Amino acid sequence: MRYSTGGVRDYVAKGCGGPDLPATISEVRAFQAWYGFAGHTAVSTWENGDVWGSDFRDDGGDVDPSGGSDLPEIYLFAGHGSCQNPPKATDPDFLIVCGNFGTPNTVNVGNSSRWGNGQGSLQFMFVDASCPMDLVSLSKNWFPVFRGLHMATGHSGTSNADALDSDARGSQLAARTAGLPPPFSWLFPQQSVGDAWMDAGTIDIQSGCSAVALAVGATQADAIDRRENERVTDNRSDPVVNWAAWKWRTA
Amino acid sequence: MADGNLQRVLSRVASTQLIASARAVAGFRLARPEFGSAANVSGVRTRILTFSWRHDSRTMFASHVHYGYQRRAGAWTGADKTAITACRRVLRAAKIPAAEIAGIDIQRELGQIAERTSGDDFRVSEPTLLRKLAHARRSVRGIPVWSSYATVGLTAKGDIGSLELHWPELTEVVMREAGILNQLVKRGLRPPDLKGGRPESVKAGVIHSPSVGFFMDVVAVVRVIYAVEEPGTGRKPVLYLDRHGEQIDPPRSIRLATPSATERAKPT
Repeated sequence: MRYSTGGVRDYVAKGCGGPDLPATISEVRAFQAWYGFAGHTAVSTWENGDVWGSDFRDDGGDVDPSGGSDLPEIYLFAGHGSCQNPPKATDPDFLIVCGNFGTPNTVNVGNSSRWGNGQGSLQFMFVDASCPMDLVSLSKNWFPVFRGLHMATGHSGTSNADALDSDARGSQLAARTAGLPPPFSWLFPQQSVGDAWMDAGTIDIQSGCSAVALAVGATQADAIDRRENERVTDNRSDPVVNWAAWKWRTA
Repeated sequence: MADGNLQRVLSRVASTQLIASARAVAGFRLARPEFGSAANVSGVRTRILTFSWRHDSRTMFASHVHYGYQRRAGAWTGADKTAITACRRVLRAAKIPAAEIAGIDIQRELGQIAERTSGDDFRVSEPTLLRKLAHARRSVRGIPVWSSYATVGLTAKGDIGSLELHWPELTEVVMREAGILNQLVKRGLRPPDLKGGRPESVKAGVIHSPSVGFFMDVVAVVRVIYAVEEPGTGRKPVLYLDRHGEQIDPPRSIRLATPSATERAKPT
């Protein structure tokens, strides 16, 4: 499988608000190391200003050969995201970068992101960016992005129940999903995407914040099966979006 | 010794203890299991049950292949007390000092579904409880060890379905340093300024490498969590500091990948 990562540590120096997030770079590099160890191929591994807002927008940017998020099958974004307090059903979810190009830096996921459509290949979108997967607005912001995408993971929370800057979440998600070579494949836990995120996504988050994993499927059973059992190495076909199934674990 | 021979000898030397621990800690009875060992981890497994541990840390993993929501063995959704008692039993069997157990909470995993009715419209159902897990936290002499935990999931019948215990041994040197850091915090240690953030929490504690990994770094730190000043923006910065207020590198899990040497080209 092919994967990409986008890690944004530096926000302040270029006037993108902030604060800076020191752990995002080691997070994406650890993710790359685990996926590389498992034999997957990196498409792009941009950091800081080389991660652009356009990489996540379905206006051609997400299939930009230099780093669009819809090019690989797997993408991890580590950086800032939106976190309302408290979120409402009508609130948008944002990813926030600080790009050298491809502005605006704020990506409205529900309005702008569509994955797996056209030339896109993305199957698994891993978002480690605070709480831009709010449960209360999931249907508005996240159901529309599934256009071939299999699963998405993220957090739901508030500014008082937020994800902390941590490299362990991305590292452990990678270690548990990549499909390590034997005997590591059974000596260390190898999990479905949903189960891995329930375990890894609850590392270093504040009480009340939730790790969320969302899948879609042709039938109720298909959507639930993907949510519970799909692994990145399953090589399943792209799902039909008749049903959505999601789960969450709250710290 | 050739690789195959070494594995056979290792199996004879190490299997007995693994099998006994699988039974004592997870209640797994493993008859004629397969043995495996590589780098810093070894384990035994049958078609259904797997038990493994790290050689460089008190870290154990156990799993039942049919455990989980809608899987054959199911997942526990009954009384909290049953899961907490099972977690305590695991900790006792793993010889975790009772004084280090800061608390055991129940984590609920909930699920929900929605059916597309037309276009982007969906009919959303009510949430369902998928499983309960018992989650133990650690502190030593009142000082939190943030990276340590035990998580126990039970099958529908109440047997161990999944177990992850990550509770590395801590040296006296680490705890002594944590004590000094705790004193510094109590005396009003001033955290460094971070543009765009303001300190929300300053605490002394211990952090260490995560459970799945090839390193076991353990370090006493002052952890400073910063609230984000920009409204609506999340993911809170965290600095880990030593006694001099210098930042500490995060504990490793794997040797990090090398960053790209090139800059991304300007779009045409």
